[in-house]
Amino acid sequence: MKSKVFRTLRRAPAYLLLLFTTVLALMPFYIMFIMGTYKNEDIFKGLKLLPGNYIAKNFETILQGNVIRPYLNSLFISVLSMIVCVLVSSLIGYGMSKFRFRGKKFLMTVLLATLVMPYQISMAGYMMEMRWFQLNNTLWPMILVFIANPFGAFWMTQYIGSAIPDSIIESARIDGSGELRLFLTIVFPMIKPATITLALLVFLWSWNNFLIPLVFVTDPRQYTLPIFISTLGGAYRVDYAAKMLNLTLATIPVLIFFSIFSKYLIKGMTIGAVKE
Amino acid sequence: MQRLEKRCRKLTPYFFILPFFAAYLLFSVFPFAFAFFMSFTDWTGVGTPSFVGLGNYIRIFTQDAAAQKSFLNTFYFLVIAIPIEILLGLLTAMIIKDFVPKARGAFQLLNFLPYLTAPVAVGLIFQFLFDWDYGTVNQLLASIHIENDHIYWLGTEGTARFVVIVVIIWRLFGYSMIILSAGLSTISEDLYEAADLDGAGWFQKQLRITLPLLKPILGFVCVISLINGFQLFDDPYMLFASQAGQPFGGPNNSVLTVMMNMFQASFMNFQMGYGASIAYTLFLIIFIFSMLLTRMMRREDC
Repeated sequence: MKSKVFRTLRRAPAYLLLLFTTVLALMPFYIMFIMGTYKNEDIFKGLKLLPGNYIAKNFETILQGNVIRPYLNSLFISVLSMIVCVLVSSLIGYGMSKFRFRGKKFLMTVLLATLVMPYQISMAGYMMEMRWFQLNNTLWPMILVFIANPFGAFWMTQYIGSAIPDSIIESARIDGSGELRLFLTIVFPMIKPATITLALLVFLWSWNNFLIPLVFVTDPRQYTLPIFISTLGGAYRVDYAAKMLNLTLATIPVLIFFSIFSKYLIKGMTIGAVKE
Repeated sequence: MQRLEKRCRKLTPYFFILPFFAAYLLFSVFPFAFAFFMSFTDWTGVGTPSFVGLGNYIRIFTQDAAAQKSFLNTFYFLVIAIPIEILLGLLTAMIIKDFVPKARGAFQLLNFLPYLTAPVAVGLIFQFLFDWDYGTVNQLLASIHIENDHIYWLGTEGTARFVVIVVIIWRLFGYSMIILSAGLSTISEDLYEAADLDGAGWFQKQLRITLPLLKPILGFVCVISLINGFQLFDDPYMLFASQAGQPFGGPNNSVLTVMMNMFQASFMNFQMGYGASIAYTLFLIIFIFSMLLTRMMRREDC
């Protein structure tokens, strides 16, 4: 009994540090939420740590603004980017891992070399290209950039290479299955864990993407959620409470969504760092 | 007939890799190459560009004080924030693994949430937290009577930089924690048990066993943090650029990052060519670091 108390005491610094980082991580979200539940004037009157009762009124204020559209735009962009990227990445992953062909090694090196190269570098070139295609002022620049993602290609090549036995492919070929059908009916269903991980990552990147819409979007009807959030920053002292509630609604639902699938997300993010 | 079939077979892999490389050429390689070309011109995006040779690059290093400052600022932020962020991530990862193994998933997720949040939103939240008038930080300080005069966090150089560093650490330490946790799980338990038999304490075990074995992954986290950190844009932009009465790069350009400078040149002043040269200077730096990264990853392979 005594030793147990002693052990807990000795471990106290560790628990305290963990508590500290966890509180640190959550505090800004909490304050953001709390502020959204107060009347704007009350925010200025000293520290608030418990929820207020003005949330319904603030919600009414928000609904007068244009909140639904940015959400739908972001959803459209992210879902489409996700689907196309996963499909294109699985295709190249299959091609790179299960076939031998000329130039494969060179292509693989190119992929690896550009793995961590940020697309932001080529922003000026991308801007001009989209202008020529007359795609500026549309949602397409935010989608096209995610189609060919080196990480996706690399991840799928690795996964398909190790998860799909060659014998399965061979026997399907002997049965006379066409190559595309083989891919769609046999390979693709077998790589579900990898596709979920990649889908979540692309969704996350696309959903939080700020620079590209900042460069391309001028029409409020094409605002994505991050652009909408940036307009909340605004130059005028308006309704801060409503602003914070708006921000809460823009961030928390998607954080809950990511939390549900956090296992897959974390798996995708730790790939490369650790060989399993 | 059979020969035709064989030839078809040979083409199959190209069919699978075609969609990727078509999109890659069109939307990655071309803009990349074209931006490189633009960096040697004085193009504004309209009309015909004229070549200025290395003029843009020379301008960055000899004439443009703001650009030079943006590189120094970015380095400054990273040099201070990354060690703290990694240390915090490392400690959290170790504690979660050894002291609360049953709640591992929950604690990892909670500490990881900041990294998943849109950086723009993070900037706005912190703009609110550090507002001089109604911000939570100042109100907290006032309520415990440490500082009754409101501190103008975002308005003076030193404090503005402090806030940016706090934001970087807050947003990134969970990422380090996740990567390092994955690293910790690869270390064999036998080693710790052997150390237990020798009577080693927790700290000693971490120092003698964990740290040396974690070195490659610590290096990985370091380089990735740097590569990502060089692109710092969203949160400082949101902290300062969108605020009334604040200059684009914060007070006296003290928080102007390289990406912000690139954005300002290319898309606010429409000096597309010059902006591209700033981007390519940054590219060179990132390139060097990613060479380092691939070398480290390769060493891990063997």
